Amino acid sequence: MRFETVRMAFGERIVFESLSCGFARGKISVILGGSGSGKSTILKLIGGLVRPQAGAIFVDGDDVVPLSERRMYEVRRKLGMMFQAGALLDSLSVFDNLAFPLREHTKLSEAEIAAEVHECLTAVGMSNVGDLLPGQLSGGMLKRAALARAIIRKPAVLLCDEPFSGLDPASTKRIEQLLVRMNRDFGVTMLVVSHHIPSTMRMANRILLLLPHAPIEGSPNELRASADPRVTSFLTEEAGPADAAEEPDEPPAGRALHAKGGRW
Amino acid sequence: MVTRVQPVGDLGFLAIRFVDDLGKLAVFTLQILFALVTPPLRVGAFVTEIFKLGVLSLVIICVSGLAVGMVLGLQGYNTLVRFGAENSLGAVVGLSLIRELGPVLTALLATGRAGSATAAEIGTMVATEQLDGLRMMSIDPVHLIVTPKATAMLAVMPLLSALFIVCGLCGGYVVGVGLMGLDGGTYVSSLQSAVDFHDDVLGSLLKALCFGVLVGLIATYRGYTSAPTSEGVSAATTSTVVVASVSVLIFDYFITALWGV
Repeated sequence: MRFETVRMAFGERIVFESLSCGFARGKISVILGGSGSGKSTILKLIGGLVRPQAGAIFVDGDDVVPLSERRMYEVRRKLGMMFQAGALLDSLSVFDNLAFPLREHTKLSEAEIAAEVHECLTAVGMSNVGDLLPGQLSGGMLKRAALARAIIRKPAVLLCDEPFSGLDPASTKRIEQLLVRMNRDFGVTMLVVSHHIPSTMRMANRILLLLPHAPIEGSPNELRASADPRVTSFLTEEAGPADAAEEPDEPPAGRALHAKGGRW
Repeated sequence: MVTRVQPVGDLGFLAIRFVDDLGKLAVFTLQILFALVTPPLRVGAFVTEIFKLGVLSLVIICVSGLAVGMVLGLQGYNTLVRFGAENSLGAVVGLSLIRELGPVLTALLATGRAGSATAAEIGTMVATEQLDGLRMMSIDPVHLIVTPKATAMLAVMPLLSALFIVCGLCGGYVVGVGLMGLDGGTYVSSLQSAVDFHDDVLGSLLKALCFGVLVGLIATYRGYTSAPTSEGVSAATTSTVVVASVSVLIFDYFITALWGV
């Protein structure tokens, strides 16, 4: 995925004047930045949910900016997106929310769909909440259910908007392991918007740090070693004293999640 | 100088916005028509919407129809009796309800009860990114959410209007015959001889059908294009009721004038 001189504004507010950056295939790229810096907007631009005023956005070789909404639906079949607030259909149970894309786009039997849904819910540690409505879930559970829905169709590209916010440490670790495993075992390209510095430093192959006027790209080690005071102050402030002191781990090995038949 | 020109500029801005809105509504209508002929057919969603928009509106339609019929019976009798024409009460109540009051009042009631609910539901889905979630799953929200609601409104409006008219006729009968002592046979025969099935009844259903299209389109469009905030949902709901109600009354005049219905 590649952005070329993208200009994006919402009314008078300019989000990007001329953003150029790339996200490598099969890698985990994490977008960091302050509130309102345009992190979520990058994900929405890739999904064609918002259109830029100028520039080009390439997804798997195609410039999605001039595509019609109908053509965009074909591009989106390769994408999975986990929204910041979940975006689950509030009139359907968690089970039906996950089953919905499978019922729409596949010819799987109900038994096969149920098995897929159960596997995904187990992967995010929510095997016993299928009957609940989204409104009955906590914020963290909502996020995990949203992630389960995003991965259920095994997208080639996974866009995650703040997957770790509102999660307890155990759930954070679990989701981090799941994402790393999906990337490592199935080559899923990932673009993650996050504020969680320790997870970012552990899982990211590349980091895009959205700073005012000039985004900075680099590997976690490059950013960590950066002498740029804006980078060091951002990493320190976002991580907080405890997190900043935490030694970065090797990427987690991840737990095998019933990997038979090419599933995670 | 600027102050003198300002109202003209404002008027121009409003005119441009109105035309722009009409254009967008036309595109939205085409999207719905395209979704209608695109598989899969959303029969389940359509039936659910029939229930929500139609069945759940039954009480308000029946009660309102009965009340309007009773008022018509009372006012009609008191007026007709002055001219010794009280035997025509059935015709007066019947024609008033079938040609005008039935379709118009049903459309206004359906706008308040079902149209506002439709706009609020879609608007909330916009505000909570549920429609964006569908788009990212390669599911067209117009196909899944909007079209069943708009077509259900189209389908239920003539039925609700017919029910309103029947309840109104009963209300008129109760007052005219039960309260004022008019002969029941006279009421019914006057109604029967005055009402023409083709001109009055079919015309009335056609009118209700037009109002169904109007209310369905406005409610879904306002919800679909609402700002993704709670204020936006509220504005969409309010504007649905206002715009749809005024449009129904204006279209009622033109349908009556042009088609003679």
